[in-house]
This record gives sequence, C-alpha cells and structure tokens, in this order.
Amino acid sequence: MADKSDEILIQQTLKGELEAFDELVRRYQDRVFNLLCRLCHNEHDAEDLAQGVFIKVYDSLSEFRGSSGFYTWLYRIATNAYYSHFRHSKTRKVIKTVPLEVGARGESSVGVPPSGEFSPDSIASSRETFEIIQEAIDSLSEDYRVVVVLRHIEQMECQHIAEVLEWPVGTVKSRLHRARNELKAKLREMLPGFEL
Amino acid sequence: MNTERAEELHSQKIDGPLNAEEEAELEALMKDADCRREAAGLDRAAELVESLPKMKAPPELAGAIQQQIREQGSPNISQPNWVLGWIAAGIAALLAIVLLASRDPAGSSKQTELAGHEKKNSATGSKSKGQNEDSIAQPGEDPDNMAAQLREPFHADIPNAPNVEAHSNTSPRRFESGRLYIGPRSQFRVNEGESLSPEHENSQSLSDPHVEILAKSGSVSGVKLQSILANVGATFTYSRTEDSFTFVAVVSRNKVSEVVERIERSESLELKKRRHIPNGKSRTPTTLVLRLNLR
Repeated sequence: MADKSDEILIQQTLKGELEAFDELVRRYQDRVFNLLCRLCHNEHDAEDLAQGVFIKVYDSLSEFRGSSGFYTWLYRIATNAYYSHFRHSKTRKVIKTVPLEVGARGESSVGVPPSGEFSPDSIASSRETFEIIQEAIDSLSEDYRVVVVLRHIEQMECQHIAEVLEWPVGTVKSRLHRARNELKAKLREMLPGFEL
Repeated sequence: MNTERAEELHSQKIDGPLNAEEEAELEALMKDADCRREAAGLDRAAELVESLPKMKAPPELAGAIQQQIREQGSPNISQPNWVLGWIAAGIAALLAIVLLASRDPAGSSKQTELAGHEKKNSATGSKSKGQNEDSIAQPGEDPDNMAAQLREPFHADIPNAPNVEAHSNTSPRRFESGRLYIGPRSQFRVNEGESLSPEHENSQSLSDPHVEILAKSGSVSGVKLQSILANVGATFTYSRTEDSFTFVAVVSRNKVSEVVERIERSESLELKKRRHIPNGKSRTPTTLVLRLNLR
C-alpha cells in the first residue's frame, strides 16, 4: 500500500477500500498536523482540525478532479479549515506547544546549539527561542501567517502557494514580502541576538 | 526609500531569481550599510522560521480518523448536475402521481416518507424511517421535567445564561410559536406566523436528549468545545455573554462518552461536574450535564 501513488489510493478509496484512505492519512498526517500547529499554535486545536480536514477530504474525495495534485488540494482544505477556525476564535489564547523533535541531530542549527551540545540548559534556551519565533508568527495577520508558514515551514514555492490559496502569484509574493518585513521587526524586538 | 527598494528586491530574490536589471539594481543598493542590514534581517527572519522543529501528529489521530470514516461508510459519490436534475424531476413526478391518486391523510404521510423527511409521529413519539435512532427523545420521557432538571443546577452560577425555555415536545416539526429550538447553525424561537426555512426542518427542540455545557469564560474553551461537538456531529448552539459561553448541544447517545473523553483530554477544559439522566428502560445514559471551567 505504501508504494502506491496518491491517485491509485484515491481510486481505491472511492471503490470502498478504506485501507487505501488509511494510507493517505498516514502519508500526510504529520505534514497537515505540523501546518495546523504552526498556524494555530495549539496542539489540541491542530489535532481536532487535522481530523476534520481528513474527514472533509474523505467526504469530498469524489469531487477531487486531479487538476491540481492531491497534496495541493489537501493543503487547500487544511488552510480553509484554519481560516474558518480563526474566524471563530475572535480572541486567541496561546497554549504553548512543546516541539517534539527539539535537539534532534541534523536539524537546522539556527536557534539550536551546534550538534553534540544538547545540555538541558541549551535545550531550554532553544525552546525559548522557538517560542519567540512562534509568537512572532502568531502576531501576523492570518493571511501573512499562512503565506509565511507555507513558504518557510512547508517550503512551498510561490506558484504552489498560489495554487493552494487560489491567489495570484503576485499577491503571494507581495504578502510574503510584507509578512517577512513584519516578522523581521517583531523578531528584532523580541529576540536578543537577532542581528548576527 | 533605498532601503525599502533593497528590501523589496531582496525579498523577491528569496523567492526566486531576479532578472539582470533587478540584480544590478540590488547590487548597487547593497553598497549601502542600511540596505545590507535590512536585507540580512529578512534572511535572518526567514531562517529562524525555517528552524522551527517539525511537529508530529499524535499517534491517536490516525485511529480517530479511521474510526470515524468506518462509522460513516463509503465516501459520497457526487453526480453530475444533469443526473441530479433527472432524479429530482423523477421524484417530483412520482410525488405528483401519489398526490393525485390519494387525497386522504394516509396518502399524505406516504408523500412525506417518499420525500425523505425525517419526522416523528406526533401521537406516539415513535420514529419514522430514516430517523437517527440515537439523537431524539425517548418515548415515555417527560421532556419538561428533563429540561427542568438540566437547567436548574447551573443558572445560579451563571447569572447571564440565556433563558432556555422548557416546553413540551410532542411534535417537533410543528413549530410552536414562542418555543425555543436548536438548529444546525442557530438557536431560534418561532414567532407567530413566521415561515421557516428548510434548514429548520432538522432542528431539534431542547427537550430532546441533550448535553448542556456551561463553560466559564475564555474563547479557547469555546472554540475547543465547538470543535469537540462538531467532531461528534452534534447539533449545537452557544450564546456568549461578556464573561461566559453557554453551549447547548444535542448529542447522539453513542457519542456522549466520546464527548466526555475529549473534554477530559483537553488542556483548556476541565470537567467539573457530570450528571447522567438515564433512559428509564435501558439505563443507558442519554442525557449528560457537564459543567466546565477553564484551566
């Protein structure tokens, strides 16, 4: 099952083979959860939203025409779920999330001590750094937050983001530019040692 | 002005290559220290966001999705519009024939079944074909008494809680003027002579088995509860005062334990009090009263 393409798994699901959909869930659950965690900054809401996203995908699977990739369509549903969630939560209280992979070797070294130096203190300070970065993301408006997360956490190209959000590419680029400027100002204010 | 232009061009460069003219312009601007500083700031901001660790989905997520889709059955297969059009025309024609052939009350009740409406028999409280067995009032229950039991303990604690009116529920489809009903998106009271939209057909009166959830303050708890209730397919509504949410939800009997479990697992909600009002026949909990406080 794991070596089958998304398209084959979709066809099998539509024929009633639910194991095929289980495989799609396994394949994408971490990415969807990570996206929603970074957007909501709340693991519990992200979990609930992720569940809702996959159920929505399942319910709408027959409407998926394949004009964009399954991944793009899935992300569109996930970002729409986030927008809907955001609109319902007029004031948001931040529940801090604890990254699951802090200190994993081979990760980016920004905000984390060089490899081999994961003392409890350094992990704590890297967690603080992560919290500050996350808070800076939280401070952005919802559109800016979404483009920043898709571009710099999901590593999507602007064209792909434009397909997910159904915005013109130029809009994606201009919002990314403004979002990065806001992030820079925020991080400069919040993060000691921002300027290298 | 120069720094803004440098930022703009540098930002473009982060997302893709510049053309030769823009590249030359940026190179010239970068001779200025302020422009270099701002451009480096953009790189640094992007780099920091990219450094955030990846979050892994909780192990129970896949299981919860699997369970839900298995309960639900096969995904919906959408039909082309013209197919739906023919189906609708066929149903309309069939209804017209039935209407012409039988003008007695029995004929009318047939029409209702053919149209797929989910209605209760008003005399006995029994369920028509297609009615969700888990989500409606149990025969023999005294709805007024049940609703009164549900409301009483909490109104003293939440002075601004809305007045949820008790009422008899012998015929939920015949909306009674002045009564309070709960629909998929709203809680509404019917006024004299008011015409109701099809959406209201699926509304349930507050004397059906329901969960009344009181959450003291906090939009997080409110949002969380919405999410929990939506996930179990509950019909719910909430009202908001300055410092509190009051949720009223109609939850399927077989989902009650899931609601409790999810609330207990949530960090933003704390289950303070729980009271089951059992069904007189099976002793299965049909009604649950929860009181929640923010943690």
